[in-house]
Amino acid sequence: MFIHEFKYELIRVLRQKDELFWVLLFPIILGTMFYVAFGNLNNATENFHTIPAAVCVEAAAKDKSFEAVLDILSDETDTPLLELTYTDWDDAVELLKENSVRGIFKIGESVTLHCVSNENANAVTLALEQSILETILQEYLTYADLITEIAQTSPDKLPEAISKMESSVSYKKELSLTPGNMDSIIQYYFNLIAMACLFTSFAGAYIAMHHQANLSPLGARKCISPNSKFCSVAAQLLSCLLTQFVCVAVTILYLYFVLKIDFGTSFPMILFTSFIGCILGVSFGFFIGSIGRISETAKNGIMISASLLCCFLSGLMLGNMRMIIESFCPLINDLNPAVLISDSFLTLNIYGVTERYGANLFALLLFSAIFTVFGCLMIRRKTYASL
Amino acid sequence: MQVFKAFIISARKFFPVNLMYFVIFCVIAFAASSSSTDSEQSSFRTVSLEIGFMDQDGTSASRALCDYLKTLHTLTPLAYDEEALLDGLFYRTIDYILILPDGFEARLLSGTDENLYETVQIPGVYSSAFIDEQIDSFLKAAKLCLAGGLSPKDAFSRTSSALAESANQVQIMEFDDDSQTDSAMTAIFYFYQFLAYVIISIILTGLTPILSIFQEENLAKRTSCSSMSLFQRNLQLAFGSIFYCLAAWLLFIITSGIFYGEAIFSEKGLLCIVNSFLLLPLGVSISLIIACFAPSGNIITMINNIVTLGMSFLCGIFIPQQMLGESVLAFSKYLPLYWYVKNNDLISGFGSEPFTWPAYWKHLGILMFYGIAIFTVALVVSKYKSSRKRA
Repeated sequence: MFIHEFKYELIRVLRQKDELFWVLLFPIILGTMFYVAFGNLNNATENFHTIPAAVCVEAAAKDKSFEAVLDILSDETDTPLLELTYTDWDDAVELLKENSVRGIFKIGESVTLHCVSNENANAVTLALEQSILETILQEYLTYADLITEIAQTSPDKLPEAISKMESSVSYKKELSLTPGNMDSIIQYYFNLIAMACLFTSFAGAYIAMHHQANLSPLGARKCISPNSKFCSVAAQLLSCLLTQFVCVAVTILYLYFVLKIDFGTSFPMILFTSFIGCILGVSFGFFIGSIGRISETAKNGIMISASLLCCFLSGLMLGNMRMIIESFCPLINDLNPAVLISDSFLTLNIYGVTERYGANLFALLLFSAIFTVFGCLMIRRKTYASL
Repeated sequence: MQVFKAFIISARKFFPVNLMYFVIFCVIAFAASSSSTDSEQSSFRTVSLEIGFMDQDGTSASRALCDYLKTLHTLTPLAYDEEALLDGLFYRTIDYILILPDGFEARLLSGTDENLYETVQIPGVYSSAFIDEQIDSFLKAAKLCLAGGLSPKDAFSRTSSALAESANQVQIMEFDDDSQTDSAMTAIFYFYQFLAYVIISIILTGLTPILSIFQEENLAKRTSCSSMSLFQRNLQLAFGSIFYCLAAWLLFIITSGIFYGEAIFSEKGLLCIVNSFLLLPLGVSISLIIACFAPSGNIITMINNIVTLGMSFLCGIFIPQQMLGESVLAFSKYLPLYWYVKNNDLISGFGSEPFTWPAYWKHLGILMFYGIAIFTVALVVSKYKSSRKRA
């Protein structure tokens, strides 16, 4: 009988187009949208590109040293800091107006930097580019000031000071604490998989609702059958878990192999984590489905609202939402299943299999056990005088 | 007006769903308005970032560098907790981590150049390049002062003062091309950008099920054998649809008026309103096509999600068009909302194209053309479906 129930649950899921859409098709579509929309986002906003600048050298210019500094900064072989256009003032203004350059260095009796306003909310990248140009000028003016001062106070120290100024070594040592993917966009995909896992709750709820005689005709038929309810529920839950996991796995396969999303960890670990996520999703649905005489539509409404709210708080719609919540009420994050699932992926990506990863999985399994036990308690040993 | 009355009664059923869309949209619009800046139009800001630092040296040199960076950025002292550091960097709550190791001052004074300080940073991003440049300029200036014979204490103090003296060198250029936008108008443009997603969603979730009810086989047969002519029925349905869409659209226009006051009645605000009006024929046409297949509520929700989310992501409603890849833009030109967003960018000056009247009318014309074209397709599909039913 177990095999029979298991088989028919498999067939049912394949015929339930609505469930398949939300668990299989919707995450794939949303993942594709993320890929299309975010594909160029970091490149356009965060990733460093050579900064275009115009240089206007006036006839009155005496000091050629700033030009030399600019030439050094634009001559570096690997992604130079600046891309310079030497031109006259009118053309430079025209280039600035068209946003072809981010600033104009005007070299006359003194050196000045001319930029457009960057107070527009959209101008974050422009503001960073202009700030770098400002730092270059500030650096030059500071050195020029200090060299002049040294020339006046201790001329004998001047050659050593100039040699210090001309050296172009990097003082920093860059530490790499992780081989993982530090691209913040990846968290949207982690949350997307968490959403797909939570959407498996629809299938779990279906099982609970169709074992209750007062909620569905199928439940009524099952109630009068001599079949063990425990055996039937267990077989269907296992079958449902398997099919839902396959759907989520297809989404992950699509993200990993077709869209080539770098999860920063091994593929089997991603699958294993999402399997635990599916256990939680199915058991959550089973629990909601078992609650009293609420209609199927209302229960679906509760599940979709709860899943989307959890995913919103985890950062599916707003990237750093999780950190905002962490700063004022970390308990919400500790109890939010979407955060636990996405944080497991994040932990795998950055730190590998650690205590934190284990704690997340333990919490997910604990919640699943609680939901399943309460769900079973609510649907067991029910008899009906009339329906 | 029996059909019109039935239409309105059905519309009431979908009021809660539409109210939910309305409330969500208002929250997003309000968030967008509050995130826009209140500063004057022609001003310049040097970017201030979040730096986490660990001063393991605790000498006058390390303190001087930290004090200098504090004048430019927000510095937060951090303990060496690898997970906290990496979480902060991953979620971009910290832009840069600076570690001044033990012996920093000694190495600086001895003239060592390499590995003076350590950083944990997101490689290849603007913020890292910017802070690297500022730290290097401080250290180089300090080395200059030391080479000039100043004592370490004087050298660090002179470095800070020299850098402060040469700060704020940027001169702002002002152009009379209307491309700069003030904060009130910025909020309006965001409002009208997101409006496309919400209006189409509300029409698809609200209007499609109502039209589907009238397409239902038994109801259609009962109506066709009644004394009411087909023309009368369709006319009343059209009135109902126009009434529904206009009511939804007006509600949003009034909301924008409440949010942004007089700014909405400025020239740019009115151009945005006209642009948004053309979303209505587009939404009705798409709704008509879907309704021809008389789908269930769940299918309508699925189609709504695919159509609205798809167009919103591809056409630049959620992510600005300038940030989308070229191949994506090449494809999205074939979608109507691309032209809506392009017009919104044109009015706001967010895009690369300066505002011109011919360009505005051209985009408006293309949007209208899409509305008519999709409406024609809807009529053809409807005719085909009804002729198949008769056969």
